[in-house]
Amino acid sequence: MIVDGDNLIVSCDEAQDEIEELYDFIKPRLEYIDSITVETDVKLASSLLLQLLVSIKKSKPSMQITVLDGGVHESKFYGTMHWSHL
Amino acid sequence: MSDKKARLRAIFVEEAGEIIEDLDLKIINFEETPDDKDILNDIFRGIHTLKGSANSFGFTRLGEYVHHFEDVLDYYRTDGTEISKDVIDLFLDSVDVVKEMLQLEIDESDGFPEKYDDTLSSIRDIISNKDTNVAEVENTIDLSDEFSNESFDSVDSTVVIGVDESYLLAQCQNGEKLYKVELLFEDDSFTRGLDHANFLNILGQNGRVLSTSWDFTNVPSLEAFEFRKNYIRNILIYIASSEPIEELQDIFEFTEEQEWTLVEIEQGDKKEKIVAVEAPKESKEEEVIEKKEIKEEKQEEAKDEVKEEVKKTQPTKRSFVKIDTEKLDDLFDSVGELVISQNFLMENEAVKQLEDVDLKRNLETLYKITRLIQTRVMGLRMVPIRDTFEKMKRVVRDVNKKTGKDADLILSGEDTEIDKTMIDKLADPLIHVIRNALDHGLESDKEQRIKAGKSIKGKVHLKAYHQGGNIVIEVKDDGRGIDPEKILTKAMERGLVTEVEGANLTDKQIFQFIMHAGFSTAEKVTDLSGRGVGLDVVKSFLETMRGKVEINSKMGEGSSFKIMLPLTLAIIDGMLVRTSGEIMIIPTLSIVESFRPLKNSIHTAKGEGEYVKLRDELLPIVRLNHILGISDERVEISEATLVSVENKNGKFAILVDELIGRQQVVVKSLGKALAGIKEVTGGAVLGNGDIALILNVDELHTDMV
Repeated sequence: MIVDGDNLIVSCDEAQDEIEELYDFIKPRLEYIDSITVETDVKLASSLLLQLLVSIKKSKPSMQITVLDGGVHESKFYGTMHWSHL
Repeated sequence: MSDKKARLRAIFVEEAGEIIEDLDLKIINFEETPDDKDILNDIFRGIHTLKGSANSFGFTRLGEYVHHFEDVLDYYRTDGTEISKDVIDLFLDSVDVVKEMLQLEIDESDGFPEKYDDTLSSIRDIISNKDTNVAEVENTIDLSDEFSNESFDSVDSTVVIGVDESYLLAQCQNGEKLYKVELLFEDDSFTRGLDHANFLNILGQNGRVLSTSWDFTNVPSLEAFEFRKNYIRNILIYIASSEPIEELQDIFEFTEEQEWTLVEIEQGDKKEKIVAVEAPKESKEEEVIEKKEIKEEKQEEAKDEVKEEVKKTQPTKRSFVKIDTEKLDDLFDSVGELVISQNFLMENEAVKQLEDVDLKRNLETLYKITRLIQTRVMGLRMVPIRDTFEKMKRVVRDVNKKTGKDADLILSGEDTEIDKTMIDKLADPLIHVIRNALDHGLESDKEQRIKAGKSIKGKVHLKAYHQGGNIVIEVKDDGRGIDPEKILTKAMERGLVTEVEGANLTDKQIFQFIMHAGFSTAEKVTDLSGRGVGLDVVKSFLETMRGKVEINSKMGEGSSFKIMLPLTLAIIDGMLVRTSGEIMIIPTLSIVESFRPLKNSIHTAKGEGEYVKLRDELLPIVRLNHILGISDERVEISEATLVSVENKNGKFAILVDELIGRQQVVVKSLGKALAGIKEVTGGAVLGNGDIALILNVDELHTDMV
């Protein structure tokens, strides 16, 4: 996880304990973060990351999250990824 | 781009076009019945489908915009906020952007539509307003219900969005099979060491993951979020793999049976087949029986749901097949040949003299069946005019908005069927006529309407009906009417008619001047009409479609434009006539009457040609053999037959040797060599094998009558 101003950069291969760190970090700072960039050039290590990102989006719909915005994401590992209930 | 990809892209473009075409109408209908939330949900579904497909085909700019449009639609359908006129405007503008964006994507052009920034900014304003009230906007509508009757797919309670199985099947290569895997992990799956990502990655090692659909319905906001609790209701994975199904089943060896399903998708699979769940592994007998029962129960429920969905989506048992219109045209041509061959047979002298009663009866039956086939094949090209009419609602709404006028569009005869070729080309001219009616026809001042005893709201009637074997499309307004004096003055100024000629013209003939290119009496040119271009579009359309227009108007009461079109372009109803031994066909749509003139009704004006007086009218005579260069023969007019016809310039009489009879003929285009002859529009093969030319009445007499 890298904090770059009001943008947060996370990688898809974050393990569950790293995702927990992200969860702990972001929860009290939600209003200060405007966007989250998800690096998708690696395989997804845990689907926990995606559900956390969705939860963040549901808490703050204006949050820009690269992988989720657009409703569909093209992944070289997982084909066309469709999200519902964002 | 591979052929397959290009074909799929073409299918997407066509289907996207159909979805977008419907959006305008649905939005207008929703404005008329704002309580009908089904319409709003329908609009949402269309946009949602478009989003998924657009992104799949790499139309990312379209996908991105549609995503925002979907957000705002979702906001209104879930929030229940009243939708104002401004929001309807925004929806309609967004549809315009989607239309233009699709075209830009198809053309692979850079740039964005004109209204892109404005609409996006308005959408964002609405959404940001929603963000500030996020607590109130808890999603209460279950999307799985919304999408349960999506055309794409449906499995149990799974939400499957934007997945087109036929597209995925087409992506399978070299013996790969398409499998559908559903992961339905329990709340505690993460603590049990089950992570969807692991299974996805292992599946990826056994094939190519083509698509995944994640259902995040149950994911709460951060406040209620419990870390390590699984909120992902299900994931639907499509994988192309060369492995047998058993190999893939082994991946789930250590999971509970109810936590996954795996099926192979084959071409032509139906919903019922997809909901069938594999019972993959051996397990403890009792447990298996119990689980099987649960599963069977679930399956039954799912099947019931599917049946219910099928009922919803198929209100009647009618089914439809999409056919390329070119194939229909080919079929029509073949049937045309069949009819011609049939005519040969019936006209054959030997056949006519047949004495065998049975054979004669059989031939008669063959004739009837051939005609029946012809009628039915013709029917395949006929589609109701409803969709084109409904599109005009948007036109009226836009013009009302721009001009500040208030008019209702009243439709009738929407079920009237018309040739598909004509319908495709009818929308543009119709838009021009309706715009003219609203912009110039209706009074700008409401006081004027009240003074004239009319309702404040203007009325434009758009109706379609059959008349004498033709289709009539009539646009009638209750506005101020057209001033014939004003038209005539303008026509004289432009040199279209002399003062002397003008004095003899009827109002109907005078009104025809407004169809001339660039002719306009509008005092001010608006961006809607007034340049005299619009009705020129109508004129070109009528020329192509072999139709005609009749304009009627009464000052202070309103005007009507009657567009008369043949039933179909492939067949023409014509009068067969003979001149100097050649058979010609005059389209009956242009014929007023035929008669044999009396000697004293014929007049010759030196240098001006020959005329015949028919009742109170003096009609110029056109000698067909002369004008077509068939012969110089000059028959006595009183011994010939005259066919009174009418074109855009008025009435005139065609001189022919004899009338043969009325007949429907299959129109054949002329080769390049004859294409330059403007007096003929096509040819037809007659029963005896002779070729007859079809006359272009518009070009036989071009001087103003």
